[in-house]
Amino acid sequence: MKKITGWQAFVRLLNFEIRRFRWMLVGLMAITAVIQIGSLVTTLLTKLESRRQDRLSWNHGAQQDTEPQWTPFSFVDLVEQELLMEFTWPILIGVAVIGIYIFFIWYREWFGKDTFVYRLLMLPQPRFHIYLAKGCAIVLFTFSLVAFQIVLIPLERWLFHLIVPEEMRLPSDFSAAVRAHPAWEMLLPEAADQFVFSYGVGIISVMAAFTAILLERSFSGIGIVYGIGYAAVCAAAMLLPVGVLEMQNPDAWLYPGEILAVELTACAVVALVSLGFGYWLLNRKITV
Amino acid sequence: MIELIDVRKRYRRRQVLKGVSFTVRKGQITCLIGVNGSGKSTILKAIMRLVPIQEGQILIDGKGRSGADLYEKVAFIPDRLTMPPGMKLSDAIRFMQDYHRRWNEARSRELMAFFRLDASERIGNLSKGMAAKFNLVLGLAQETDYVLMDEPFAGIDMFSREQISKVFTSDLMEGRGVLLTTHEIGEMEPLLDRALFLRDGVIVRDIDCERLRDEMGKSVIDVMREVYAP
Amino acid sequence: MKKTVRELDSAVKRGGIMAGLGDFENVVFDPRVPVYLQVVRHFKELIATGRLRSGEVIPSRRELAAMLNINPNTAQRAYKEMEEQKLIVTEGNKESRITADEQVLQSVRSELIESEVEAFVRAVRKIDVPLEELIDLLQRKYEELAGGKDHD
Repeated sequence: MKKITGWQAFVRLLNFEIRRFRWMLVGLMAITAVIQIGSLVTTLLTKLESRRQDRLSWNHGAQQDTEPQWTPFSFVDLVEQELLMEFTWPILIGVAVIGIYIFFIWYREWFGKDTFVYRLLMLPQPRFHIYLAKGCAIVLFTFSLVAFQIVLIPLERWLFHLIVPEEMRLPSDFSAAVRAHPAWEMLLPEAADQFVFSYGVGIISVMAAFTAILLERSFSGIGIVYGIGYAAVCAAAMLLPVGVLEMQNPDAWLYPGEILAVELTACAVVALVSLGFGYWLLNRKITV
Repeated sequence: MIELIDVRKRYRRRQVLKGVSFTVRKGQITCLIGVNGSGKSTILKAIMRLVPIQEGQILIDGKGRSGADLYEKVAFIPDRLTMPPGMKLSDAIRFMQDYHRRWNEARSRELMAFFRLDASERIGNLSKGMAAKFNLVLGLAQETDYVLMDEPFAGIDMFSREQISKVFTSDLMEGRGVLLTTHEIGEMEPLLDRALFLRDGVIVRDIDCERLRDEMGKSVIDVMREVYAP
Repeated sequence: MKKTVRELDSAVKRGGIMAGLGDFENVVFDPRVPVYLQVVRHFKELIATGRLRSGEVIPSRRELAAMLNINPNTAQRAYKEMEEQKLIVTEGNKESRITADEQVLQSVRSELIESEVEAFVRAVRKIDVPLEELIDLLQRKYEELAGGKDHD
């Protein structure tokens, strides 16, 4: 009887979850690439074509007397002015898919007649591995998409430089490019603490969502009320310090530093409670 | 042995189990009998920690059930296949093999051959009989001390039934404790060591089958008529 | 029990000399009688009809359980009972054999015949037939069936 250590068992489970979403990930990456690159290229070509037309009509004596000058623009300008919507769509789609998958990753085990959840719950390893594996899968999925976007930006900029003739373009750097699009700014904040905070809150939200799902699955009928209730409480706990105590307002009751401390504490509590509660539900209350 | 001591379970408003107590011993085939909806499946699932119980105790070999240990001592064969329909049989076996130390690969091959199952087939394409047999493969190829089976013969054609009952008389069951549920005994009678009759959430009769025949000249089916007569 | 005798009867009619697989398959059990006793009875019938010879090797407990479709514990119990009745002998962990003791084999035959005759008499007594007529009928039937056997 070969010995499978707890750690090995967890990694296998994680691998199992990753393999289950691989096509979804590839699909999203493809959509993002196609939409972003596609819209970039078509917009540029259209621009260049219309400039060429102008040139031509001027050559044949049309309206203006002076040679039409085209102000050079940079990749950043292009994104800011003309590609905001197009570049936003794939990100919205990605967010929607991940949002749905956070729930789907659990509910899929109960689908159909041959509910797979039996097998998962009967694995000879701590049940909490299931929770952790699904959580890590979501996190990896998200980070993979973000990383893909990071790779796409310089690629798109390179394409820009390829297509636009030298006299019409201006240089731009990576961080400027990121700031060109509000969604990119949100996904890739420059300040490290903002990064940690944003993604930290994201991860904690996933934990809260998972625990809400387990609540729903543990109590038939009334479970959905418990689940939504729990999610609402967690959301309130995480939003209240910033919202109610008005972090942005200079006249607020507490110093910003204190508000931040309250917020961080609230987040930590939500995280720990979600993990602990989720652990307990999975071991003691869950029902197939 | 598996012991249930005064187990009580509520589902929504209904009290399904109202104090169930019995023992399953190794080396014996025990049959849990009850009409549809009486809570037989619930008892098996409760033993496997797939549903919670409100009161009572369930002990395996005298000890409480803890996580991984339970699933290495007891194998459960539910009344449905519980594998994704897109999976191939060979993938399902790989899955079991990856996570269960007590998976006996040679035995799984033997059983696949005995049941004449094709490992490259997809689970969604299996007939009811084949699915039931594959379910047995997944459960019996684990070298556990106990095997729980939920309605192994329900809705199965006669020939598959014969094949399946062969398993009970083979050395696969040697030394194991078997608990199976059914609402019809039929040809299973000569195979049973003990019969437990579940009615109204409790075990009303707990019988040694051969003693029943010896001392009372009755069959298990006779007792079923007595217990469940409307 | 009547069923098993009928079963044996047709097996005997079909011919064959040694006890083969056929003797241990398709045996129907009465669910109201202890299975292990029915197994012992089955063996006694095979012995009485000569399909199991003295000293012949019999299947192991497990093999028997598989062939008869019974619980291996029942097979175990049947063997134990037969050992106690000195019908079979087991050398340590090896195979089991029918006893070579002629006295035992004889008593099995007479036990079976006596129980069949008793069952017959009980059944026939309900039909009011004088004893001589009965004996006459018995003789005729016996010769008839014996003649049939020769023709095989």
